Amino acid sequence: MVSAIVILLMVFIMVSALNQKITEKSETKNLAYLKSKAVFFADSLVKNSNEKEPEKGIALYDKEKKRVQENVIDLKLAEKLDEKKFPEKLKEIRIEFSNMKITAGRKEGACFEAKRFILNESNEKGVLYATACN
Amino acid sequence: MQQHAIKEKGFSFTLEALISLMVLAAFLGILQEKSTAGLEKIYCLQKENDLIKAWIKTKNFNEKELEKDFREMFPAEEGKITVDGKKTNVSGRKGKNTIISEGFYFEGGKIKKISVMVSQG
Repeated sequence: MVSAIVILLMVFIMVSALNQKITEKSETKNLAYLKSKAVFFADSLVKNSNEKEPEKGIALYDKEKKRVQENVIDLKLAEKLDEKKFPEKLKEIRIEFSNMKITAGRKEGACFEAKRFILNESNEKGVLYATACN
Repeated sequence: MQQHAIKEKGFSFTLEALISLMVLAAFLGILQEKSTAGLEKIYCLQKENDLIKAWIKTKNFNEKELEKDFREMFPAEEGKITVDGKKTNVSGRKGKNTIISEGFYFEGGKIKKISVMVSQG
């Protein structure tokens, strides 16, 4: 009887410790998932150019050289960003230059914001923020 | 179709053994979680490369400007920027790992090297 109580007590302690550990790990895992989404979305945005679906890429397409200029943002494309077409978990895209700002979508809840250093067509420096939320 | 009856005796676990096995399985499950260190490194490399691309494109290697841009991407980290051998140290938090990106540009008939180092972790 005594040994049964001791076993049950031990089991209870182990299960509650495990539960705490699992909760902590799942929170970390969730943040890591959001982080990966934000980081890869931001990378896609600055490296690709897609006129029909700017949510997949807003880099400037150089028609003369017939190639995409990575990290140079096409502001006309950026203005077309539609939050309804954002991929899963991506909630906000923000582009900031010293004299202008474009925001599409709105972040709320637990989020991770990935940022990338960008230029515009006039070689002014700015930052692109891609935010993934739960 | 021929059928065979199982004749060999099986074995049974005691309650304690079953509990131990369950706890062991749960611990192993926790330990198998993927590390996010790789993603952190990729993200840092992406930001370093962004800076190098922008600096090469604008051809503005003013020390204060470089430091300001570095701070924009890495607000608290310690780093070092080297442009054609000229070093600029950026003070900040020193991490366990050092991540370096390098790039090359053509100026005055010569190939010049630019590198960004970030201390992270």
